[in-house]
Order: sequence, then C-alpha cells, then structure tokens
Amino acid sequence: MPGVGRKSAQRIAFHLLERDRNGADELSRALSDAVKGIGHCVHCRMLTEYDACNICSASGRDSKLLCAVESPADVMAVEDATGYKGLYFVLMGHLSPLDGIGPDELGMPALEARLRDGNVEELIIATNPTVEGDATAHYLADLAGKHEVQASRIAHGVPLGGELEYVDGGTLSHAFFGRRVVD
Amino acid sequence: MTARRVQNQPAWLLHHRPFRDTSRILDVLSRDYGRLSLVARGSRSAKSKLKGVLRPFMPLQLSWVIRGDLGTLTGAEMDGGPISLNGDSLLSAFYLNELLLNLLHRHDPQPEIFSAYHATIIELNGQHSVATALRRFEMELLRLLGYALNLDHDTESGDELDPGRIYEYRVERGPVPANNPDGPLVFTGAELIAVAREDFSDASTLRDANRLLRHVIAWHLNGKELKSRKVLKELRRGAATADTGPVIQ
Repeated sequence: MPGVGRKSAQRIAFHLLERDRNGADELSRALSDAVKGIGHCVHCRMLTEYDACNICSASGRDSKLLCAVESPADVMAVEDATGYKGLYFVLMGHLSPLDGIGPDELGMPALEARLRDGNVEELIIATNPTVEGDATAHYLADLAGKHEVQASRIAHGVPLGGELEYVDGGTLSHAFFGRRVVD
Repeated sequence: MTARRVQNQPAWLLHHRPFRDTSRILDVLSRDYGRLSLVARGSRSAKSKLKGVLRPFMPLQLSWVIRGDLGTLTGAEMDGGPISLNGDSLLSAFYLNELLLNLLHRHDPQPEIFSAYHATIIELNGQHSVATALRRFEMELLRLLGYALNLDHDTESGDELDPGRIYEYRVERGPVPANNPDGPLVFTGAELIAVAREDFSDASTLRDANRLLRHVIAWHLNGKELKSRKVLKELRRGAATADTGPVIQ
C-alpha cells in the first residue's frame, strides 16, 4: 500500500492483533463496505456511495464552471484550498500514449456530452504540470473549443514564499514564459 | 561487477513510470551509452527538485551510476533552453519515443540516432510540418539501424527504377515489378523516387511515404501495435483540430 512500508505494515498488524481486535474488526468492515458501496458519480466520476456525489447534488454550486482534474485527491485539494464553487470532472488519470491511455479511458465521451449540452461556460483545466498533463490539457482545450466553451488552465510556476535562486530550471522557465501583465 | 559512474551525459527522457512510493524508473536515450533504464530515487517526493527537470522532450544532462542492467540516477540538469511542444507536435513526439523504445536495443550507443532525435524534437518545436518531420525521422532511423529503404533500383533486375512502371515494395527486399496496380504497397517508380528525394512539400509524396513507412515499420516491429498510434487515432477522431494531413495513420 502506498506510504506503508514492510516495517510499518508489520507494526500495524501486530498492534491490531495484540491490542485492538475490535478496531481491526471495525477497520475490516469499513474497508469491505467501502469496496462494495463506493462507486463513481454518474456526472463527474468522483468517488461516491450515491449515484451523484455530494458536490454534483449540492444546491448553490455554479454549474457554468467545470473544473477537470486528474484524480479524486485533486478535487479534495481544490475544494480545501480555493473556495471554488463550480463543478468538477475527474479524469481518473491523464493521457499517456505510451501506456495506451487515451480519451476513452479518461471518460472523455462523458465530458464531451457535458460540454455539448450548452450549460458549461468555462472549462478550467487543472491537470498536473507534467508532459502528460500538458497533452491532456491540449486535448481538453480542443474539445472545449469544438463546443464553443471557454477553456482556461490553472497557472503553474514559482511556489509562494519561494526564492528564484532555488527553483529548478524547468519550473522557472515555465513561470517565465507564463508571465502575465501586472494590472 | 564494478560500478560505472557517468557524469553529465547528454540524454533525453523517453518514458517514465512510478516506482515505489516516491521514485520513478526512467527510460533514457543517452548520446554515448544508448538506451538505458535508471531509477530516479525520491523524484516523486514533494520536495524533489528533479520534478521540473525530468520531463520528456527536454534536453538533459544526466549523471548516473550503473552496475548491471539498471542504473541509479545521481544528478539531472537541463541542457539548454526549454522546449515547449504543443498539440500535434507533442502527441507525435510520444510516437517517436515509443518507436525508439521498441526499435533500439539497450546499452547500444547510437550517437547518430541521438542527434537525429534531437533535431526532430527541435523541428517539432518550430513551425515546420509535423508529418514531414516524422517521415524524415522514420527514414533516417531505419537507415541508421541498417534497414534503409531501397528506393533506387529494382531488386529483381538491379536496374534503376523506371518512373513509368508499377512496383510492389517488398519490405525485406525492396521494389519488384508488379502487374496488379492495387495493393497496400504498390507504387509507381515515380512515387518511390519522389519519396527517396524526401521532398514532402507535395502532399501526395507525403501520403506515399506514410503508406510505405507504416508498413515497413510495422514489419520491423514484428506486428506489435504501437500504443501511441492507437491513442493518437482516437484523439484525432475526437478533437476539433483541423486535419492537416496524415501525421500518423
């Protein structure tokens, strides 16, 4: 499991078996319920135990804004940090031509259907700043253009509080070319 | 086996995949040591300074230590300015990488292929035709691998190609006279001669080169389908990008 090495796994197993058998039972039930009960939201592909996730079924969200992200963890990150009030679409990955991951694997037909129905005015592309994320962003921007939806991509560059001297060359050059006019 | 230490070697990252929690395994094309795999320890961790550097389609200088087949990356820097591929150029560059991953042997130095790849990425970064750049690279790659296309003589008689005649291109031999004008690899002599000149400003020559190279490369891949080709086809079907010609069919 990610983040749990052999030593940690062993400590957890001994702890549960020696000191907290009830906890182990509860954990196994929670995991079993999660595996059986959690699927994907029919609208945005976020993980949820219902047909539509909490965000898609909430009133007061702005359905004109749609933010495309790579993973459910990215939805949580944007929700926690930005105060964004639009909706999401979770791709569950990024385009990776060398691994055979194309538009169908990323649910693009479902996303295109949402862009086509005319309700969305802006598609905010929040894929990761990797080459694969860039390829995905280009494709999403093309798709948005095809349905006359404005596409924007989140900015990337120097971290807040960072010092240029210590920022790696790739990030700095990206930030430099993505500079914008100061109002 | 003694460890070999390599410092500041010009290289390109062809592919990468996650390894354990915070590391990656890199498939790299280096100038003097050919294609090889390196573990980049910690390169996916939150604090790693390598994340902005270890990107495909970025000229790099890599350092590593290797004992056996898999090396360990010890340093990475950008080698020159950044290259920013977009749209079709970016997607086609993935195809180049898959081609190299499938056709190059590991630890077989190919500095000329390294240079040809470098030149093609630079070309894709410019305003040139993507399809032309790809066809030239494919022809150069085949030549450097020792599988050069025969586009100047009839392999049965040894005579020069007759522009008015019909030939069937047999991958393992070259052009042989044909009677039937239909078939996936049937060309006129004039068409083959035009492909040999690599003057792809004529759209029909570009189409012929694409048809010929697609079959020849498929033959050298022993029928293995390239994943990037499949994905690119799906992408081109879905996106609104204007069809600028047969980049990859």
